[in-house]
Amino acid sequence: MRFIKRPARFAPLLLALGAAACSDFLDVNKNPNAPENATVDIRLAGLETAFLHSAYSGSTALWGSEWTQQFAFNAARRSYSQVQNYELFDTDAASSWNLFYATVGNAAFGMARDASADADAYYRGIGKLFLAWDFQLITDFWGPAPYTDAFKPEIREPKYDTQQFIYTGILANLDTAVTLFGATGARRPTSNDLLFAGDITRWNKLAHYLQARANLRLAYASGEDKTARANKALAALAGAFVSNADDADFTYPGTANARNPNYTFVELRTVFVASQYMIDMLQARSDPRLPILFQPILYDSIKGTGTSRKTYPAKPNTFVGHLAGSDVYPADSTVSIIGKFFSDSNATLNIASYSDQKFTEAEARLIVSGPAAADPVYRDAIRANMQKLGVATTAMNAYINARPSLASVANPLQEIITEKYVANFLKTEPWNDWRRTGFPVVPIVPQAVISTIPQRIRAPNSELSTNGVQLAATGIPTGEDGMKVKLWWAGGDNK
Amino acid sequence: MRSWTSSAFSLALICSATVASAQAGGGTGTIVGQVVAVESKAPLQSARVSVQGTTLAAPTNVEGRYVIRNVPAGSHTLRVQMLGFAPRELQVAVTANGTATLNFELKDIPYSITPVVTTALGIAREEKSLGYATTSISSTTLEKIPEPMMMQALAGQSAGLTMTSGSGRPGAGALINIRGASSFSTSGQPLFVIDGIPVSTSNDSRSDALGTGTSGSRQMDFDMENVDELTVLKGAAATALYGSRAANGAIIIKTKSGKAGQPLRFNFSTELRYDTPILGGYITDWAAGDRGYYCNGKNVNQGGWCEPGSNSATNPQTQRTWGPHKDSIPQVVFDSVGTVRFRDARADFYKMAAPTSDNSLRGAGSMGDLGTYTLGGSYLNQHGVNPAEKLNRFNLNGNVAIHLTKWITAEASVQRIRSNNPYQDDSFSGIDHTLINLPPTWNITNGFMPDGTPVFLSGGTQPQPSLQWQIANEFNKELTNRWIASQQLKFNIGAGLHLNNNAGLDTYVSEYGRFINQRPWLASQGINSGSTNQRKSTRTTINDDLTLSLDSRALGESQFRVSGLIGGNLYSQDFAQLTGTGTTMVIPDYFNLGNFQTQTVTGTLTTQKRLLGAYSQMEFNYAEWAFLTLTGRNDWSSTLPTNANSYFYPSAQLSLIFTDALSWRPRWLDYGKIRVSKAKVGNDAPQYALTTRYNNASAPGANNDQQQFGGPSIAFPFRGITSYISSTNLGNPTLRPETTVEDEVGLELRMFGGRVNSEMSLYRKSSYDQIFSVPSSAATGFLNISRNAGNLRNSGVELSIGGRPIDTRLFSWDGRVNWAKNRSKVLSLAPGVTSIYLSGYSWPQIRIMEGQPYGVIWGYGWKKNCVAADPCYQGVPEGTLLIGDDGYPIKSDDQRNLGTVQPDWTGSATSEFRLGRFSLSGMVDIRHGGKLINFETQYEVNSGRSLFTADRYTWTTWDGVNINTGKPNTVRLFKDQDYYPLIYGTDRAEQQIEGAGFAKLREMTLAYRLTDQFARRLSLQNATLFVTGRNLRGWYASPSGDPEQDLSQGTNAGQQYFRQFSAPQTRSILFGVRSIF
Repeated sequence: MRFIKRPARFAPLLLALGAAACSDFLDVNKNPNAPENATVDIRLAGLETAFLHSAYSGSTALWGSEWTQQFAFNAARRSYSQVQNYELFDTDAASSWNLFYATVGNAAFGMARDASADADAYYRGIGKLFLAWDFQLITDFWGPAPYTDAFKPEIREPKYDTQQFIYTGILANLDTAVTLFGATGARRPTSNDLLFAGDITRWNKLAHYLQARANLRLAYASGEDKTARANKALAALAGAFVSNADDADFTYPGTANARNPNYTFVELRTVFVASQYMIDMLQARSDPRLPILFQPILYDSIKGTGTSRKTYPAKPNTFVGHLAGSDVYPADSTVSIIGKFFSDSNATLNIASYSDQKFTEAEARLIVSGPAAADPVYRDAIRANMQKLGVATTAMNAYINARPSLASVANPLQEIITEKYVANFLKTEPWNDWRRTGFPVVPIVPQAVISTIPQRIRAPNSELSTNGVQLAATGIPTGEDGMKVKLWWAGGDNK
Repeated sequence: MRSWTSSAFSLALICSATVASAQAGGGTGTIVGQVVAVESKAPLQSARVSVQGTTLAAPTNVEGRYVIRNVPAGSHTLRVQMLGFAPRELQVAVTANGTATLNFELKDIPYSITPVVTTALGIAREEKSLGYATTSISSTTLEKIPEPMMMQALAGQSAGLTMTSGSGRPGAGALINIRGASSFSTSGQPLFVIDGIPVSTSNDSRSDALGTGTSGSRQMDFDMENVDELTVLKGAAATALYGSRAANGAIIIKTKSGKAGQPLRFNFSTELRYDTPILGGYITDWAAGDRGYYCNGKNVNQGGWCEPGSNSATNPQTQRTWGPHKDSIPQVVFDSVGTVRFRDARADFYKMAAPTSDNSLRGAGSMGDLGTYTLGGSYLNQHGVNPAEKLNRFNLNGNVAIHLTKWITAEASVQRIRSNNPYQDDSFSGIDHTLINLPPTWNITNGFMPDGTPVFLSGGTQPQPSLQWQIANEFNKELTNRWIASQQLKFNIGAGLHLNNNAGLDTYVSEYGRFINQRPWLASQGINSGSTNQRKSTRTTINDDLTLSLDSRALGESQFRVSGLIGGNLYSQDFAQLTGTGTTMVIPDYFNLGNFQTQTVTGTLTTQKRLLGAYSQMEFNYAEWAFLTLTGRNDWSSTLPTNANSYFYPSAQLSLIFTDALSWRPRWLDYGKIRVSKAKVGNDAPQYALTTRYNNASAPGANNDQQQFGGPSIAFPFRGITSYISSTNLGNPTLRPETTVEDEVGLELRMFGGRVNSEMSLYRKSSYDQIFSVPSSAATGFLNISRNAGNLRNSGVELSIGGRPIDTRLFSWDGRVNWAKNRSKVLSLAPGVTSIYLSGYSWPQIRIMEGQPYGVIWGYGWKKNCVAADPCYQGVPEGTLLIGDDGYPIKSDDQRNLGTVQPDWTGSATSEFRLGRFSLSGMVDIRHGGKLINFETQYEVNSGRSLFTADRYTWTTWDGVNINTGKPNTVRLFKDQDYYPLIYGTDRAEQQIEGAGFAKLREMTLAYRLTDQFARRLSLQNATLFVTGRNLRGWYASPSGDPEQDLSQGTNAGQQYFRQFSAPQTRSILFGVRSIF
């Protein structure tokens, strides 16, 4: 221990040692769990899936489908919001709002922004397309929403823009997308494009389809020229789908965490069932799609539970629907459930169809040229849907031939929209169409919480607590009353 | 060889004597002596010895010795004063040039102020010099508390510290708040430091409070028996030297070590503890059944039966307590099933736990001049009232201090801990969730049929198996191996300078597994069940403090003295976690991850944090009655932006012993001190908050009918593609450190010959620029943005008064009362943000709201006159309930503030009586006010088990006005099975709110100290036998019982007030022996 007889000498040395090697010491704040950057090609599949699976086919799509009584809810839900009775909580609205803006919208916005190089033109186009589509969902659900100020985190309280303003932006973005898809020399996505596997011509057709649909949606908006909008829709259709083969279909392997969103209907077969309204409608029209849309019941009735459970088999091909909003709850397998074509775990999810496009065209033709011109297009639309569903040709032709001529009916629009309602099964479009046209004439549920089928979704609670001033400036009630206010394109005010 | 310290002090004394004698003349003498404690004979340092009637005085050195020179010859009265001890006066005669020896033995006063206090960085400072409040708890106090979990033992021990325990499960943590919660984002837990090493008390394995519950807290690793002294540092001034990490206060733990000069002694203690569950709070006098008809609750093919007329005939297992009252059971029931037994199913399941044993043996002694050593070990074998829950803990520890040379002392201590903590799920998937719904007439004691198959609790295709089957087949395990090691090198440089390096390591590996066995009866239906989740977490904390300190006392005695230190700190924390999940079990009962059809490794999680600090503390001491301490610390943190990662914070503390300063000492007052402090503490950001990340892509499923019905979600890799998507949290590269400033004033008085001690503190603490994920409008593209925002103010008063009013040879009485009131107010959040989520569901939840105390219950309430957007009738008082035409109150359109969770005040009263060799001590712990949300109520009213349904089948009229007319409501409602769910449902949180106040007889101990003769006959130095009761009696503000059954488990401040199916608290009786040989 001789060497430390004079420890005072060593103190500075120790201090120096302690202070050394500090420069790298603090450099550990780079997150090892998540990257700070990812190129647009790596982000594409995530954006597509989030939009198609969660946003376009998620909760809000099912709300619209439920409110137009394509399916019914078969359980007492006193403790939770009763969507079937038009009751939503502000928190329900928030989960969709947050998804549309912060997850999907931000991802689409980021893709359009980051794919700035010429070589990334197609990615930029896809980003623009999803951004437009996402804003269309937002404004179709809530009406006014932040657009100009959106995706600018430095603006803490983004102001709300009018529906008309947002639609102008949507159409401009779709125009840009079409231009970008026409670019040459850009790199194509490959297997990272889960929707079209890098086929840009199909993306281009989808952009045209969306242009047509957006234009037609504005046909009845206050202050809009109906014919001009219909003509714009028809013009866009020239570049859109030409057959079912062009449909935007999203496929699922069907394994755990890779299932069709409508698998909910299988998992909760006792809860989400066929609605009496739709079963009655299909039966009245002898629609051959009935056994594809719904499954026949297994039992006429069931008595007892557990081991004393006795079942009484039903006659084959019996379809029973549940009266939406009824507080009598039939047992499992005594009421029809959603068909496997739509709800199997590996079922293909259709996002945009040639059939829907044809209905859009039929409506536009009706506006521009009258029912006679619309009639063949309307029949093509039904045929496209039946072919998609695999309806036998004879049954298909019989059904189509049985449709009265549009020129002969009192309300050709009602015929078109009612058929479109069947073709757009489990989608949000039937609710959009109902709000625009009032068709099909869906009854109000007996225990409705508000006096009408909802016209829009109420304000999300997250906006109330973080952007309350701007939200209040829209002048739309933030509570359940807001759900009664018509959208601009449904004949309401442009706000 | 004399120890280096004593030589240093001798040298110092000689120096000062030389100086002094040069000034004085002849005719004087010297008084020397030693001051020791009366019982332990331990030398007392820093006692003040004064010659009455003169200004002569001297402090005692580390060996308790003092020298007073130049004392005029003659007879003198010497007075010794020392905090924590009764003052003593003795006569002595001094001759010219002679040396008189006068030794003192001082008697300590329990519950009094300890003279030397461990402060930040383990620096021992004289209590009188401190400008802030601390609480020291000695091992003698801690030994009387029969809690295996150290933190739970802190209940009621210190004014201003609130301890809330989440459940009675072995290993369950406790949440500690010192002077109110002060953080928007973190749990607000104090820093725990053991022998200079900050240790982790988090629960790393699993935290899913709302779903399956939370794993135990790593607080469980620490052995109470190993604690010598525990100090609570409350305010910012006290923790300023620790800096960032102790922004919420600090708890400094000193473990036991050998004492110099002490021969080898062994301490042995053994305890046997019996826990019984604290039950009650549920309906027990109504029978199982539905709509008044009785059902026996058995499975249809296991003897199920229902009263004729019942609509449940096909399902006699309706888990509902809506049958007949026990006094009106129809004869047909007795005729068919015999007697009907009424008993709470919880009482059948939560039995008195198997006895818990806790044994500890420790040997300590000194190796002559070379140093001291301790070696100890303990084994705790704790059983819960749920027979599947246990805590087995081995704790081995050792400590050696060696004087390497005259100048160098080395000290090393090591703790090796192995904690094994099998436990059951809490919350929704917990046993308690099932139990609270089971009717009192069900007999669940038999869990298996004679053929070994489980008894079923429900019918249907997927019946629920008996609780006995569940606890045997569905469980969690957690095994932790932990090392805590520290090493200290002390260099005595001379001239009062000391260089000290304290290095430490806390590292553990926790292996966690959740095991859900296959349910064989489902296999026949083609349903393959069984799953596992296994997780390995490693956490390592390294801390090093290098300090250079100067004590000017070594340079000579003078009226004005300066001492101080400068130091540097290096801190690193690393965490890594790997999780594997398996679903669909192949071979039953075999939980290897390879035995599952789907096996996923759900990613690795790694976090790192580094901190460097430089600090200084200067203490100015004038005449031992005025003390000014200044501290400053600068930190450099890895979590802040590189160009702005440095932050400085100072503190100043002033302590005035006004009784000494004014030489004013009335008969009743021995000692009076006023203290003032002001401090600022900075805190860094959470890890990785500076940048926005891309997360592995995923897509949520539809969420159609809130919460219960989620559609299928997509996880990547999907269709063979791995993808990333932008995080919804926006990073912020411009974050600044958080700041807490605190002002504190205090008064300490010692009165009536040291019999009464009292202390009062007033404080005001503001935490601003808090870093938290500020919720933002989703339209910004992000749901949360990391920001510096908000301002939270806590202010309060703490009172503590204690002492020994009666003290005779035969009988003594000690007592202490602590009382504290804290008021918190959220002054601001972020611009545009009015409230933020803390814990809970979409509704109800606990939120932080601007202008309100920290933590408000937030949910749908009832519509009330003129409240928010509710209708408003003139002439009807604001807040009057608005009643619908049907007579029911109406759910509000918006969620609203339904009351705060903060208590009005907390307090405790401790008392100890000693009669000869017997002592009896006890503590009552009180929390007054505050609310909690009882999420169980909605389920209990449905099942008919809630006490709120005790008034069933009566008529009521809600007090309020009709919503359409504004006229008083007159509609009568019949309280039947349909009524309660409409009042207490999930979305009607107003009726689920209960008072969270309580008073508890926390503990009561009767101890007997063996006579020395008898002890010696047993070859013991001494021994104490004791019986202790814990939680013997409770008085609760709510009929639902003990509010300390919530989701917190030591994790999140908001979950503290959210009651949702956790294991009941327990009442314990403990028998023990504590001996020294």
